[in-house]
Amino acid sequence: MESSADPTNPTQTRLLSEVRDSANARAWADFHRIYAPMVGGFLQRMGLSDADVDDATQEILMVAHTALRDGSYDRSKGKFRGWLYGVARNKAKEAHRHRRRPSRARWAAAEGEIDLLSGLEDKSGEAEQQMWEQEWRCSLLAEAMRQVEHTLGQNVYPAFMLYAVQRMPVDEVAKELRISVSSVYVYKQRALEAIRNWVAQFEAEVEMPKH
Amino acid sequence: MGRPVRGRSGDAQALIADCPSLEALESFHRGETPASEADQVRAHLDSCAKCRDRTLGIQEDISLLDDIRLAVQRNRSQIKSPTLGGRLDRGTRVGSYEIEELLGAGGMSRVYRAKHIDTDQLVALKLLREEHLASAEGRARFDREAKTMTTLKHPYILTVHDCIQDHGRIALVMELLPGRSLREWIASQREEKRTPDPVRIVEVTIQAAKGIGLAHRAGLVHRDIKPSNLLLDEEDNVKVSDFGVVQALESTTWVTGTGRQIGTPAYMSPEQCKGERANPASDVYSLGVTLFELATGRLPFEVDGGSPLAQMLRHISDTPPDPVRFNHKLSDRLASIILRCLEKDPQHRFDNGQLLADELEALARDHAEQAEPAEARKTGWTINLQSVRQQIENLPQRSIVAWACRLARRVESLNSDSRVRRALELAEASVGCSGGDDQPTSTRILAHMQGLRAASLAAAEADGDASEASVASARAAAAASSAAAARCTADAAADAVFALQNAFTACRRGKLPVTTFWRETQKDYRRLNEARLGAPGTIGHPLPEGFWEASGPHATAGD
Repeated sequence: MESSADPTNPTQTRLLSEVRDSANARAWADFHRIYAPMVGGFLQRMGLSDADVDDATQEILMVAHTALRDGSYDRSKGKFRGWLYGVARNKAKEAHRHRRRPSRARWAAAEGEIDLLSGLEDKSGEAEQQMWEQEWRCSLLAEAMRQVEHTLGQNVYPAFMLYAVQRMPVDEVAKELRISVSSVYVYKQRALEAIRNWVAQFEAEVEMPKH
Repeated sequence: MGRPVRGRSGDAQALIADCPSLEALESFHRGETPASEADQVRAHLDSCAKCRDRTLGIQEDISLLDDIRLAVQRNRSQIKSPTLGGRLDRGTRVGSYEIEELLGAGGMSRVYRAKHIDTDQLVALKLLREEHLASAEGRARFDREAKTMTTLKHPYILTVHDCIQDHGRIALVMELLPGRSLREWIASQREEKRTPDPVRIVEVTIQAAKGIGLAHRAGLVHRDIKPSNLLLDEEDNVKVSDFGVVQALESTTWVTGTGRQIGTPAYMSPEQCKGERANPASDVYSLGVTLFELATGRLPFEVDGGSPLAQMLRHISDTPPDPVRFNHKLSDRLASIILRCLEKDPQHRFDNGQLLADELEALARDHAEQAEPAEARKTGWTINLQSVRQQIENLPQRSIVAWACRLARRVESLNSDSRVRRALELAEASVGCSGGDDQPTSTRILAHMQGLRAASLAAAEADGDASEASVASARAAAAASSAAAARCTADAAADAVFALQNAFTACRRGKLPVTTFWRETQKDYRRLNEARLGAPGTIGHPLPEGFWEASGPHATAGD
């Protein structure tokens, strides 16, 4: 997937309005890239089969797209992802009605969440919401990393990935990248800040657009 | 490490003295700090509100990082990881070597410490990165380095023992150095806020220039001279390394493709920045930038944000600042050598590494000799006058006089007063004169010589502005004529020793090579000793013709 990173045009911050207001192909691609993995990840954890996940994801995103364009998503009612959660949850339930309940083995395969089976039966849907939030956070961070990677100086992103994410010993990272140990620390912090800022900006401007 | 904690394990002392580093606080929060140090961190947090605030940020960082790791796990295919492909693990065999540890990595290759499986010899193995194995350019570059390095043998060039190929891998077997380069050297100077020592800087640069000079003589240009390519061995001698982008002077095409910039912007010559062909003077420029950095702790052209293009433009058009501005200890002469290396026009620089080395050596020599008097007194160059005197007392008086005259002659050039020369001439003549029976002649000569001796001394003191060297030279001559006028061997020996003492001073102050002087003077002594000149039966005869010839008369004065 080609990157849409362009420091002069912070596409993401106007993402939803662009998706809504125009037939902007790039905005749609960006929208898809961020929201599809999150919706897909959620549906998977809701116990849908791989084939169902792909179909359902496409459908949900189409609904979201249409809703953004014809105004049936009313931002005054809350966060976009909250609205999208409702759509995705309904879709998952609908899929479940058509199919048998997921096997216990399938739940076990989803890492560390064996006890979520009871969560699914929980009418309040608290566990589902947690899964949704977690998927959202993963998608958003993945996108943030994509976006900040090219805006950071040489070696900053690799130092961050190797040292902070992959937890390679700091002196090995320094050797690998031919930088000093103190630079590794500085770069890690710099990348982390960039990601944090990107996420904060996105959440402020996209998820809670100002009127 | 006396600095505040930097590593994950931390430094207990520093924890108390200073606020712990972010990394130390982080490992504390993760529970990774050793128990002994954890108490101290806890104690510090109790007493330091600032650090307590910092820990809030750290908790956020940690949870953000945990989320990021999860995101990476979930989105493995989408999130780019730095390519570490082909990194060899400990114990991997490459030819007859076993990988021990990664020492460093560059864009094209990685360097490992490796051990020969039979001999246990430790070497540095430089392996071309896997992603470049298939590329023709990467391969050509590596082959070129292999070929160059195995032919270039010099104490100041990194030794390459062999080039091996194994299972599609290609590796250079190189000598293993402690792993420090001038880059780390500069960094440590900067960290310790030390003003660089000009003598050491010059020494290091001479070595680098000589190493590069050899490549130039072989018709090669290094093209990427910079501190990180100048390694240091155990004795802190320089080893020029990384001949990966070396270019043959005579080649008609660029192996790396026409117009493609090779080098590192911060150290690149203006002609390289313009995409023109590099020449030996380009290496001199890059070494000049390195020398500037060694001497001042900064680059001649610093660019905010390190934009390579801005850097290159400055090399092309900006005048470098005077290095003395950043280090007042630098002599004007060293500064002008640095600035000559940094001339825009290659023809105005030193043509090659060796010429730069020569110039720096001349500078070092002059510095050393200026510093010598104090140094000489401290070290072995104090003459044991007592012992010299005992030795020359064994010679006949006439030989002692001949010897004293010889050594005074060696420093004669330092004093142009004619009285000094005449005193010496007469003293020398006395050696060939018959003594004994011919009392009147001898008395007359004696009287005359004493007069000349006085005159010679007067000449020494006459000019208030006379240099110490010239005064010492006159005194040496006066002492030699004194020896000629002496009434006994013991007196002559005492005078000769005084002549020697003054001649030494004259040599040092007059910048004549002291060791050569002393070697020649010793040779004279041996010759006279063997000839038994002046022994009974030889008195009254002139020195045999060509007596001094073999040792070269007045050799030193003109050296």
